[in-house]
Amino acid sequence: MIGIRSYGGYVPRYRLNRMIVFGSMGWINPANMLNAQGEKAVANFDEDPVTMAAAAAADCMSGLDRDLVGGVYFASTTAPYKERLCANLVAGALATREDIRTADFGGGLKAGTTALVAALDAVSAGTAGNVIVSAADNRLGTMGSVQELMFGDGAAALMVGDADVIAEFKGSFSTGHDFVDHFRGGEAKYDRQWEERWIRDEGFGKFVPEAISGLCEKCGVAPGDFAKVVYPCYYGGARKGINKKLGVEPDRVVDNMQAVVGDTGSAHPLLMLVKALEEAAPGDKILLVSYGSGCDALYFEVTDKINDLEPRRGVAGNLARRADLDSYAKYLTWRRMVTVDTGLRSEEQKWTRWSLMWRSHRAMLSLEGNRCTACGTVQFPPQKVCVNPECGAVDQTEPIVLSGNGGRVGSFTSDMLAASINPPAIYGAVDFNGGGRYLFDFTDCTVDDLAVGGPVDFSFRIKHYDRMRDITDYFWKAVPAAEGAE
Amino acid sequence: MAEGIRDKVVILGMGCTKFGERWESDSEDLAVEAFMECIADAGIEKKEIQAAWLGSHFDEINVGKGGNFLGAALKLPMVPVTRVENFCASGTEAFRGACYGVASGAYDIALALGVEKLKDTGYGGLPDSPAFGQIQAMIGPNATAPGMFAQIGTAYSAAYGVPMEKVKQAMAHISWKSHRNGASNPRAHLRKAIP
Repeated sequence: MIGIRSYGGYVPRYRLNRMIVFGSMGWINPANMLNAQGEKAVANFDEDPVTMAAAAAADCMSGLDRDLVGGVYFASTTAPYKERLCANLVAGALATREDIRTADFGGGLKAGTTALVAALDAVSAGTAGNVIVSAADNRLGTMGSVQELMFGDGAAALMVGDADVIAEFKGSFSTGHDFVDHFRGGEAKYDRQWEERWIRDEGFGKFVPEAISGLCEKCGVAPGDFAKVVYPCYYGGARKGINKKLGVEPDRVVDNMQAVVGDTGSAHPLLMLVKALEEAAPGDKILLVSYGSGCDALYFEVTDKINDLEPRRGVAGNLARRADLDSYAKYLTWRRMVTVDTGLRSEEQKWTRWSLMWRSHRAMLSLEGNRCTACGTVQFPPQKVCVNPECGAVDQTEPIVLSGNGGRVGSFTSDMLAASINPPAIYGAVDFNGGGRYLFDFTDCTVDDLAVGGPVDFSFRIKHYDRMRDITDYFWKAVPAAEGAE
Repeated sequence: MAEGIRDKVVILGMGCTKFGERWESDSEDLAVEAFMECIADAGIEKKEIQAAWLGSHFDEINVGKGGNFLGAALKLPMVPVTRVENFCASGTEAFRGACYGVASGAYDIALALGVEKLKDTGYGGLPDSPAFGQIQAMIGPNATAPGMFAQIGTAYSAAYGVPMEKVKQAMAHISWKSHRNGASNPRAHLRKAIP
């Protein structure tokens, strides 16, 4: 049996109330009032599709051994690099082996499901096993645009395999249409779109039913057979029309989370699928449809193994940790949409030295330290000479990945002198659970959330952005956790 | 068996500039100013100096690498010049070097000079550069010196159960004391006592 064996989700913590955006920009397009309901999820200044995909993939790995992973497929239309495989960064964050398949998918909003289909094909063919598919997007609309209001940031991940399958793959049907409702040219930062009536009627209105009908015909099922139907589309009228045309009951259509997250692009069908799986029962038939440059439609049937899954954040756990971002100017700053004054100190240019980065890539991407085999002391960064003054053994170590077990705050400070695009810089010493200590930036928090001894989780983040060379450097930061959280 | 350097070295003379922003002076100007006071105080001529130790930590924004700076600025005779750095102990490091040079019997007269011109960065506080190596620069927090030391406050407060208010009062007292000391030293950067 081939199918999904695990799932994970990630929605950034911060929410921007759409009326705050409209309050600043509504004067330029008053009709946007209709779109200014609810809130959109906004990635922190230190997040991007790579970090979000890594977080969703880590969530997907809950309870699973990292050496199992036989492939990592990353999907995004807003990848931070044109050339530097982002799937390798996600794999690094997961601390997988490096003798696996890694691939980036992109180019259109159906890329998330395209990656999923490819993973299912590989596992079915037996050419790869336990492939993680992780999709994330961080799409931008110009100030005052519809897209700015409607888009949200987020990621979702699935593991595809042939053991412990929780949702069996029953078939798929795909279309490719050069229907350019949205596009970005090679150098573009902002989404461009055509008239929304056309997108709604000629795009969603035609292609989603086409994909669903195609799948149903191919697999010998009817739209009404599905307990849960997933498709992205934030046009309420179009959704009603599609549901009616296909004979799908509205209560079987999975909520698109427009009011609480926004449209997360290539991640969105997978994020809704994760939500569906969280609420699914064994025997449920699930229809997953993506839209964007054509459609992929996939048919899954939930097995009773779904009740054996280790707990994970998924969608519900992420939505529960929301916090307000009460400033449109901060949103613009975090997304590098405006030029702000970060002081001359911020212009000191770090120089990313690739030969050094490669030598240290396990430490930097995987938070891998080492444990002295003579005395058991764990240390980070990995050391040749044991840090234990009673020991001092040289080159007697084994690697140990420290990203997954959390830690405790050893000290902290809130620093307005340090250069930061999101001041104050909050950092301090963190003791890894199990031994070892390093200095970390704290993120997704204020200094009031910190206390010496408090628990933290580690989160893969943008460490540094070199604007001159357009290099994004990644490392781990610490996020205060609720006491007793996993 | 090492017997230490007690009673083997004397300080012949000292010089010191006024501390401060000194916008009008380069490191060269500061070095010459301190040096001239020093050899006058020592009662020696420059040509009697047989070796020199230069302490300067943030070479990247003032004196540059190696010992070149000191020989060039002071027009020292052809003698070895060693630049040393060790963060806030760079001056001590230069002094140690000169002392060992004399105590070892290698030299009769050695010069130790420390200089730091920190104000050409365009911003307040210490220059922001990878002071702890390249790996730390890539993965350590973008910390400042005050930020690193401030962590002692929170850790101390938790370890000994002292409320942060009291920790802050103790730290403020240090600053109050420093300002009072500065007020009585004509070469100090800040010269106003805090009541």
